[in-house]
Amino acid sequence: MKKWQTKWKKTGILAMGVLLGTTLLAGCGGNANQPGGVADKDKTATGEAQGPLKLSIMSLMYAEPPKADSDVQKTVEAYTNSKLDISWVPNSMYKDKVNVTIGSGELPKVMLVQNNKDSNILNAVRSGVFWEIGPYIDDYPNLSKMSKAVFDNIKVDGKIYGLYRARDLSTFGLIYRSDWLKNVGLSEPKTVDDLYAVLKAFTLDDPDKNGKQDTVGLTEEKAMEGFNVIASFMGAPNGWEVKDGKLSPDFLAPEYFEAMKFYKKLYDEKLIKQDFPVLNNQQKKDDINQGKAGMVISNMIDAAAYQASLTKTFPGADVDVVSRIQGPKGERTPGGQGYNSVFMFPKSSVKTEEELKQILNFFDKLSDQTMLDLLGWGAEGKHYKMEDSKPVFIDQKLFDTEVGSSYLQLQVAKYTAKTPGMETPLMEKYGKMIRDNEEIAVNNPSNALVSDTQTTKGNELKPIIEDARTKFILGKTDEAGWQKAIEDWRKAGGDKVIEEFSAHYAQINS
Amino acid sequence: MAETTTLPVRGTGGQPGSRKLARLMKNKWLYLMALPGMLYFIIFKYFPMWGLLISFQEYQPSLGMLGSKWVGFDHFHRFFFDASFGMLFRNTLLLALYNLVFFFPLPILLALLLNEIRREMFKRFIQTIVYVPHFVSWVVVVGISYIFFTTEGGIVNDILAAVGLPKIDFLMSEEWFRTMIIAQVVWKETGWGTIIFLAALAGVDQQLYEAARIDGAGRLRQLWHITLPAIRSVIVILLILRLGSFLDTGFEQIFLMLNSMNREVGEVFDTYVYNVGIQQGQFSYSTAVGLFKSVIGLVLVVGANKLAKKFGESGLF
Repeated sequence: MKKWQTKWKKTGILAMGVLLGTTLLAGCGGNANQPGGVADKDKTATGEAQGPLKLSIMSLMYAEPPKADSDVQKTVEAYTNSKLDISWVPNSMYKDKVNVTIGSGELPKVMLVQNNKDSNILNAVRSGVFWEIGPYIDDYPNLSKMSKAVFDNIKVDGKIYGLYRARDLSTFGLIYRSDWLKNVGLSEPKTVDDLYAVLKAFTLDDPDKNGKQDTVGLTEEKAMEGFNVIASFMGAPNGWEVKDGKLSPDFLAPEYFEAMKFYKKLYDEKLIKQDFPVLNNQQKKDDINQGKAGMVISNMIDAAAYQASLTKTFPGADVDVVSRIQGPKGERTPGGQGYNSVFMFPKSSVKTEEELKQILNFFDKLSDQTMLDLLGWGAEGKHYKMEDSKPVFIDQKLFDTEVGSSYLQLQVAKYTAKTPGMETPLMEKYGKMIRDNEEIAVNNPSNALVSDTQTTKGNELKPIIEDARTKFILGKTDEAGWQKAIEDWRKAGGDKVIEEFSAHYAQINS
Repeated sequence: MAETTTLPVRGTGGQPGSRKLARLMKNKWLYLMALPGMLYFIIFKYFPMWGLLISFQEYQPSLGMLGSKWVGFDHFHRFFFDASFGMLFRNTLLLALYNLVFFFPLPILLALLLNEIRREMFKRFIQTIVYVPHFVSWVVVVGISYIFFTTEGGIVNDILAAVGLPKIDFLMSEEWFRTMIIAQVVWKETGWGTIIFLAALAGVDQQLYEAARIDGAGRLRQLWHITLPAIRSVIVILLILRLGSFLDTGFEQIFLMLNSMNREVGEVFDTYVYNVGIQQGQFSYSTAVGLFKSVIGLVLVVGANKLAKKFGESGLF
């Protein structure tokens, strides 16, 4: 729909220009026909070795588009011997823009794709819109070091069609008020039972010492991010598991139901925010920032922001993290996909293999330490300075708007690949945890799999299970109701998803 | 503008063709003024309608509309026989119905009340106040609702508790969902909805009131015999227009109010299209659902228009 509207809008502007004969409008239409992301098509075959590589890129950004003549861009261009023409698209409308761009047929040479497993992207990949880059990766020093396991996750029909932007595998942990923990006289939780005791004390033992029982142990939000972490602690699979050569969803595992019962206990004893099913992510964060709740289960990187915000409002407030909780199956944590979005290279704009290799070379060079530091720290003297031979931000906000929300997004290496700077002990602690936890991260085997039913009906199937889970925790349904929801899920297409995932799994691992 | 074209044209005579041309020339400025409007409708409303064709295709952006495969009524079949179709239809219909019954009359009532205020200053003041909620975005309205109605320190529940009543879970129950939605709409849009009615009321001939007063009619009599008949046609036209978007329950508000505990009564066509169609990039399927909604709207508009004409109103067309 969107595509057509835009297309007709363009035509409309042109038509108006012609009809009214005003040069101004005609000029407008003319411009509209030349999307910013497409570079000149000439000069691709000649003089490549000498002249800079002309590269049109479509990428997302979080704040405002940087100027093309910015220092950072000039440095990148000089280092990689390229001339960049980047169209920056706001993150909020990025998916739409990708769909429209694919539809328009005028593709940039490099396109960042967020929803690489959506049916429309899969269809484009299968109809040969993008280059397969698998055979070339090992020729580049930096790219060849990228995780093969993550490449497996982005494969379509066993082939690699892009460069992923690497992210940490497992960043989840418990963020809690360590000053409260001291006040109630408990120590860092090591098991699920410890965790329960801490949450109970945070709720009932007046941890903020204001004489009122006005705190709650755990805060959560409607998507229940924390639940999956707890379930993982208790031994449940991460999303899917392989059982007797077949894929099986996590909620069929008895451990998952145990985690539901644990949450129900927390709910019944009022140790968890009672209205969490209506809360959004920000409201959840507010609960911590306003000193209403003592613990949240989320990305541990948030801990630094909590600490900063709490110190302002409550002098003496302290935040700590813990990520290893002993469960029946030892220490576990859910692993992520290991990437966020994929750079893909359309064949219609990248005409030759030679050119593709040059583009891959660009990304390889962008992963050199010099470039990683430029993208991760900005320009010395402007964004950061050296202190004790470690980089420190002079103005992190300036860095975020000028580099972090835009150029940094071009990087395929992890954010943490830059030279480590001065960090608070808290940041160091969770940084180490995130690195260490990769070894206990439970992989989701379905990441590498494609199921047509999942791509078309996944969003219909998901709420069936999630709603029943929430209702069970709130006591609005019982175990029979939960079993019925699973039956409904199976009938609505779940059985087909299992079948398709299993078939694909067998095909890959045969 | 339509009226001016029927003005008698003199001094041209001859064949009908040249007379038409002459008429066109005479009113050329009017036609020119109408041109942007016409272009607007052609370009932005009629051209995009071709896009509806993709609801009969397996539309793939990479292949375009010409290259995509035709699948006939497959998407409609999937939609109508989907397990959730009954629920979606019921939820949408009920919300639309409640909206019509409980919300639609309120702006009329408020406009009538405002009309009775004799002190101009006070009237203006009230008008401005009641318009304000319209400009508050749904995100904020839903946020305010949370602050008022949550069980955890929500003002309303605190008051209930203070007078010894049990807490009511307004936000997480199926029973209260529709009430909350309609109440939010009433709060946000009632004031704004009065604008057209107030304009219609301003056009009522003051002499009629004078005459009625001389005949001894009181306020209520005047209301019943003069005001209401005067704005009746406006009410009917707005009602017909409303029916055209009958199944548009509004996406943002409902999407924000939805949660696991009330999805059973809260999921409507608009949220379904977002979840299943837009988010998963299934453009053809989304279009098919949208087309279905539009057809229902069209049927309702034509039906209501016929009905209005039967009752002696001028109707919409």
